Amino acid sequence: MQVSPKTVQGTVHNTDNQRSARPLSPRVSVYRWRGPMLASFAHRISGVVLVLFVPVYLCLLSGLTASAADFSDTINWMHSPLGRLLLWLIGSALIYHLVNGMRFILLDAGFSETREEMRGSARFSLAAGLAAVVLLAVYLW
Amino acid sequence: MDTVIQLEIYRFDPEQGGEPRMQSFEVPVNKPGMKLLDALNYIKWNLDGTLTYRRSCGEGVCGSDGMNINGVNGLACITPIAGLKQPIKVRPLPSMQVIRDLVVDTTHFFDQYRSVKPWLQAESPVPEHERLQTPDQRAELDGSYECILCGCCTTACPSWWWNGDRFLGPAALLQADRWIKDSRDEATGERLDDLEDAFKLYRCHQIMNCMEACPKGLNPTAAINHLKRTLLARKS
Amino acid sequence: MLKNMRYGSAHNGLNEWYLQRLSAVVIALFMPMAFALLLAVYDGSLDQMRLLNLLNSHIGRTLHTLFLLALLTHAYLGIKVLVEDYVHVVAWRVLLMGLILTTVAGLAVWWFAVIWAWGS
Repeated sequence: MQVSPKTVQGTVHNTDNQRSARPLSPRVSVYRWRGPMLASFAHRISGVVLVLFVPVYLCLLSGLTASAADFSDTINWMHSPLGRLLLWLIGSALIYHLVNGMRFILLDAGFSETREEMRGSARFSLAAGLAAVVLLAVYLW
Repeated sequence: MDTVIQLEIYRFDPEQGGEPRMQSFEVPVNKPGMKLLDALNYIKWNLDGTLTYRRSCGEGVCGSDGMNINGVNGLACITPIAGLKQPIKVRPLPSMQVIRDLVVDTTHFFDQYRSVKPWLQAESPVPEHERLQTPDQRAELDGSYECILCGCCTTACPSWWWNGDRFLGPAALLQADRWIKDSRDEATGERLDDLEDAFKLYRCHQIMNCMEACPKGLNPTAAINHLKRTLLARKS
Repeated sequence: MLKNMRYGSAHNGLNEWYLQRLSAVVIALFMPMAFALLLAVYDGSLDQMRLLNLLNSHIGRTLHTLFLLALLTHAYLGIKVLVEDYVHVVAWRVLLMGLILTTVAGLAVWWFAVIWAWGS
């Protein structure tokens, strides 16, 4: 999400004859972030991070199941700074995406649909994600 | 409470052209329970008559004075000054073409509303008195019929900001759900057919800004989820 | 005239939305296991012999295959939503989705080759 331009460009909603010099009112640059919006955006970001999981897990598995030398190389790589960083990043994203994903599925199924519950569950997801970030860092370092 | 409040208001004058700017104002608190609309009226009547905004009923029923207040959309007439951080930043509804100051072009918003055919569609002949509903059937409409089409929810939605030309937005979808829930309506199938579209409906990613913004306390996110469940039930 | 009034409904979206959630449930079941496996290897409590014993069986292979199918499906649909949200030029969108679909298919083939070669 980039800061919106002030003049009309990008998404133009209106019909052709109204594409005048009217400015587009500010949107993402001024809108206040609240719990549910943050939870949704964090779900998106963590999802993008988790795309990393696919090749990383593949490389780790193929290393771990090859020769004994490959096995110890792979474990050494996991303990290297880059390996720890990736495990931390992917692990935190995984836990947040999992918790908030369950929240989304429960909402899709029609549970906890009041305004207060939606706000509360967003705060819960964010807190769980933050806890995962901290706890995993403690475990890995 | 302070005796004077600070405001910063978005200004754009089509005759002057140029970039929009924020203008500062100071307004005295002239009555208890003062609302933001009272402050705007004070500016227009005493300080700067060129300030332009929409308002009509002044009590949260007509839906004219939707605007972005300190970063969140709401109705100026029912937003108390007391709870707002100063300087109060007042901007037009987001992601809309600005006609002047706080007045935006709502044509597209109402086109989208119209596109969900927000009226009763029934083939069967009109009964002698009226089309009856049980109290339970009527209760289904609670939480939908109260919508006043102020546009606060739709213009708060990032999905609508990026794809507003195709995504119908929370307000139109809440209204679509209102007619799909209505026991008297006989076009439910066609209504669902019209909505089953990756862009018209499924751009909603539960960001819930609509729910946070709605000045009537409604929940468009829940209505959209209900639409998705109904579509799934129909196909499975 | 309004685009979506002129074009009507594409009658899509529902299946993808449903598949996204179905694959999410499958992943939610398997992902904690996969992550626990990695952590156990990481802290040394699982050596290579016992790891291979776990993976190199019909159950291990089948579960991993299901897991990866769900994972790749979920990732593909997730990226598709992102592209639809932010890429507004149809030509770019179609090209990008083609590239992503091909990449995902390639990853799938590679991954299944690894899984079914365990222990051989």
